[in-house]
Amino acid sequence: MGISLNRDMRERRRALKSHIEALYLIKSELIFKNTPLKAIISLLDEKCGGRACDFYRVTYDYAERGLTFSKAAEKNYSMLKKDGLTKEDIEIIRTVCGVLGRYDAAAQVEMINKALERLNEALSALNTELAAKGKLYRAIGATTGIVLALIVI
Amino acid sequence: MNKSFNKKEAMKSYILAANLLPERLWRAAFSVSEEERIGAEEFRLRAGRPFAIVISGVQKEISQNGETVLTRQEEIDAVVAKATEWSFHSWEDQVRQGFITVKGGHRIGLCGSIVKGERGETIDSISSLNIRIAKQVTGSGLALLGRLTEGGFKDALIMSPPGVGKTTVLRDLCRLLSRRYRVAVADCRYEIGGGISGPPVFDLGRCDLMRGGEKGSVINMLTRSMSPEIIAVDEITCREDIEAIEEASYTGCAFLATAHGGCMEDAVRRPLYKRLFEAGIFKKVVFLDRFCGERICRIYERDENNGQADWRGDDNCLLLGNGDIAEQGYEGAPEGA
Repeated sequence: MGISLNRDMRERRRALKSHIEALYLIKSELIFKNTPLKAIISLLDEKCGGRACDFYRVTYDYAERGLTFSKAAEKNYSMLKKDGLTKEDIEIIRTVCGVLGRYDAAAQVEMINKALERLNEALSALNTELAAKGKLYRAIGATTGIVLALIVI
Repeated sequence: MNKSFNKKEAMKSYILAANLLPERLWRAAFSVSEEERIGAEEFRLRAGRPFAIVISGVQKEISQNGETVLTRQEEIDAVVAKATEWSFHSWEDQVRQGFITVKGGHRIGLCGSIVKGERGETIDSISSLNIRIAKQVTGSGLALLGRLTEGGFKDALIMSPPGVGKTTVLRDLCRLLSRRYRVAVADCRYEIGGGISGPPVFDLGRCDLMRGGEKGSVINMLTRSMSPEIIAVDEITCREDIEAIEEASYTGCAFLATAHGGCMEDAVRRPLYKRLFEAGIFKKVVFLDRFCGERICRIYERDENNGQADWRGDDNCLLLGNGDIAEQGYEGAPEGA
């Protein structure tokens, strides 16, 4: 259980990092080039990869079936849950998806900045938590494993 | 051949334009007869109101299973999202002008609330839109060609109320004129060539096509770089367009342009065009109209009498038809006929 908790936290950290990296790239493409979303997603694939890229690519595929990007993202939030992101993290990404490709570049960048701020806060809190509790969880996991093994024997 | 070719092309355009619609409206769009699909000019979407198709100038509200198909707001949002490829920011400049031109040359007119953004006014909360189905009607300009090239091509202006087919006729004239003249097209709204980039979707013959930009700068670029004999411009709408044409007219280029107008008397009185007519740039004005579903036109020629300009109109209207009327002439027409 402890090991699994530890793993979940690490998964979440990886997903958060991936989303932060993706948002920085989206933001710069919007500011400097006004790049269309499809091209941004190709760039994400090329330069970042990872979970965020998968999420945006699948969402775009959903949208192409005749939905707005935010509606397509709604259909795809289960993917974020699988990546270990919390409700709060998903809510932050939801706000970004609500404006992505829907408003002018300035409005989108403003929303991305707010989301980046909150995601970075969440990441640093998670890092602190991992440093403090990571070893504890691992120790609990190992102890529980040994105890279980002894009982079985 | 021309008639069936045009029907096939019209059907292709209808399918491409309908593909912009969400599934429910798409199904409704295909519930009309094949004949109506061929004659369709626009899809009209208004939030909370019936979905309509404009066929030969008349709006037809679409019903399915005895019930009128009402347009939902999210369906309008979905059309805009799809048309802008989910990238509104990349289409801001076009949206600011009130329209988006998508692949295939279909123009989507937008209506909503005007809001002030960082880069000026733009449209938000889009509540109604129309998708104008771009069509190439091969041969629609043929009946006019002889009149416009009598004694060499002289600057001509095509005028009509919206939706009669100025761009369609202009497109065909460009194709026909390019057989004899060097024709450059300033396609600032991406409608003449029917595409944002790459080769033009519509057949423009040997025309040189410059897409996007402001008319003034595009006309300047074309005169400098392509040494055209004729420059074709769609929809003169503001003072800047007129200034650009006036400026370029001194370089020896002739112009073939379109503009909105109901009749010659109104056009001459309208302050915007008054300057254009007074400058004497256009020697011929073609007024398009519809009669019993067919496209007709009346040609006015400029007459200079003792320094006084007078516009002499034809006694009879010329039948342009919808491509099929010109078919016989088109078949045997030699290059540059």
